Amino acid sequence: MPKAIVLLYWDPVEGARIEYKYPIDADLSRAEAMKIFTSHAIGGGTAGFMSMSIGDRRIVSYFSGIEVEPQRCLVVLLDEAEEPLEYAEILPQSAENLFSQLSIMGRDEAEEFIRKTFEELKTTTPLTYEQMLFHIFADPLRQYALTKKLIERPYTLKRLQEEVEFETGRTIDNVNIFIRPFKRSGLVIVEDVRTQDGSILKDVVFLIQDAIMYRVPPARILELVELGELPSQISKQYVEDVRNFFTRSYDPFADNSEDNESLAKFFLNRMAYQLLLVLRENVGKVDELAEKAHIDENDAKDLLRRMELLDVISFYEVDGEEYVTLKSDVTFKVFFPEYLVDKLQRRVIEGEIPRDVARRHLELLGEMYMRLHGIRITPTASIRRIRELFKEIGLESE
Amino acid sequence: MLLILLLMNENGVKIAKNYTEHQLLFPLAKIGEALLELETDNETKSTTIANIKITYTKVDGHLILLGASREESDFHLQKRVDELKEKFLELKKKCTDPKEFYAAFRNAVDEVIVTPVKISLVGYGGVGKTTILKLIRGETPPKEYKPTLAPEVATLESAMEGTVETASVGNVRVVVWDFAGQEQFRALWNLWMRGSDIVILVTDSTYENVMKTKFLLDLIREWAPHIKVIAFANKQDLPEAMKPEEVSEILGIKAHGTIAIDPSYRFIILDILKKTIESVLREGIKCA
Repeated sequence: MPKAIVLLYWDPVEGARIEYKYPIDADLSRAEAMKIFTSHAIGGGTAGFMSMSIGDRRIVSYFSGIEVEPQRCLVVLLDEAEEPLEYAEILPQSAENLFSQLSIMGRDEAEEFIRKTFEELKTTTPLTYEQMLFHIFADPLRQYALTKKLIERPYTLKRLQEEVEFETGRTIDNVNIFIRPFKRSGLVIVEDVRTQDGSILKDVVFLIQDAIMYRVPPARILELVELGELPSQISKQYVEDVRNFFTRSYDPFADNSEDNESLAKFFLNRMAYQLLLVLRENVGKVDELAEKAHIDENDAKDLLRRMELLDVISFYEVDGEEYVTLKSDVTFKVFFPEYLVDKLQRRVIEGEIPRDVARRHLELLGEMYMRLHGIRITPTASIRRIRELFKEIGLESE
Repeated sequence: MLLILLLMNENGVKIAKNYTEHQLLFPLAKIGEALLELETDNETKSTTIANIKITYTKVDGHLILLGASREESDFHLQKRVDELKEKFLELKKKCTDPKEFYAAFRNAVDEVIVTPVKISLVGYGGVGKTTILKLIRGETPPKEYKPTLAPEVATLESAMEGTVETASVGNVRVVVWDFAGQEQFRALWNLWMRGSDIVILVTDSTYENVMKTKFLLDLIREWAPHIKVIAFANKQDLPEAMKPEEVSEILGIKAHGTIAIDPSYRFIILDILKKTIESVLREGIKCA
């Protein structure tokens, strides 16, 4: 569990200074703060995440970038037992969110925001697979990279960045952080590839699994309705509302990228996600749900209002009391990108990608295929299946 | 540049501190009166009227108003006013007598809003920057060379006490930045140098290092053409050391001979700093 959170800003005369901290007695010396800023600046000065040890302290921090005025750094002081990389997704997200809103916040509001960010970070446990995927769909550039680029062919990380930036007109601040959720969720593998002319292509990104995100009716809650475990006054109305939403308001086959982005962004918030997990299994009053999700009741109220606006939940009144039910759940389908075999063949023939890169991609796809289809992975079996794939696309294997 | 600070309530101006010769009290007090009456919340805000940036906040029936020249950054001015607000509330708890409170607040103002004089110690690795800093602070010089890995920022109130004429400018704080001189940090020197009033360029007085330092001086002139630069030709005790006059000739600025490991040089260095700081202060007081 983190010990404290400190927001620093850069003063050209006095160096790194503390802007806010929580808890209020959190301690970070000027020398430590200077070291944090210096480490970020030496690393290129771009916005980004860093973990480091200063003496006995373990620290993770996110820097706004040298070009930003004022330069800020959100620092989390960790417990000795913590794994810093567990913060690699959540801290950049929290920090960017904070940096973008600070200029319109008053001091009290900012202090409350810092407290909430800290409370949220305290619940940091290793990200679930679902949360990892939320990180991909919450970011329009990551969504774009997945749905427009990586499904077409392998790219070097640098070229992927260049093409995504050029085509979207937006900037990827740190490409290593950008690609991390893809790697951690097992959608891509990033490797160097040696080509026939002896040169090495650095950091080639291979898609080995594809993923889509969509809304689904809340299965468990509908089951509870069947079992008669919902207050009778709301059961009928609830089923009607779910049916209406999925027949009139939501089309799973339409382009839902904006909807996915809003939902994924929202559920990046740890407290919101905890509430979702509770809502998938329970119907109840706000205080009961908050208790089950281990979050403050006021925070739960705020999150539930926002969930209602996102068409995720509905409120129902029963005997003067407000009940909350999940109206639409979100889910992911992760699948083998079989379509890539044909595409890779075409790209090689058209000279768009080197044969060695295509060969390596097929090897990786072959391994993934066998893992997904339960074929025993022995060297012989792997090689045989890869050879078959190579044959299918007209490439000779070595 | 810092121009004026006002603390006022509905009965009028309680504290006025002028930092320039311009007569700004009357017009800004009028603006303050209007803000006291019209401003509805307690947030800290900035607005520009004519060439004056006015940053203000309301606290406990009072208005804190800071006037500065328009080129100052809103962010840094607002931070200063926020700190003043905190100081106000802290002193309010301590002082029950209004007279005592206003006097205490008046005394505390400069420490918060007057930006210290920034001195940057610049030079290549191993020339003695950290040793000079330790000497200035009256600390024991390091026995062995340990590269500085991040700029150390040291406040020098106690070391400079009595060496700077402060009567007309309030309590002048001085901060000295000891730059990390190693190769990998050089790209950051430009960034660290921003906001400096004085650069102390340190060379170890060997021919090779003086020539490299000349190149560094050219860079400093490019980055900050108006900054005051003084040079220390350090390690004068070593046999290969060039004389300060020779170093001056190569660099094109006066180089003061120093031996940073010799405590007797402390007062010589403090005297040089005193004179340089006084000349900087004559140009006006910064506030952000």
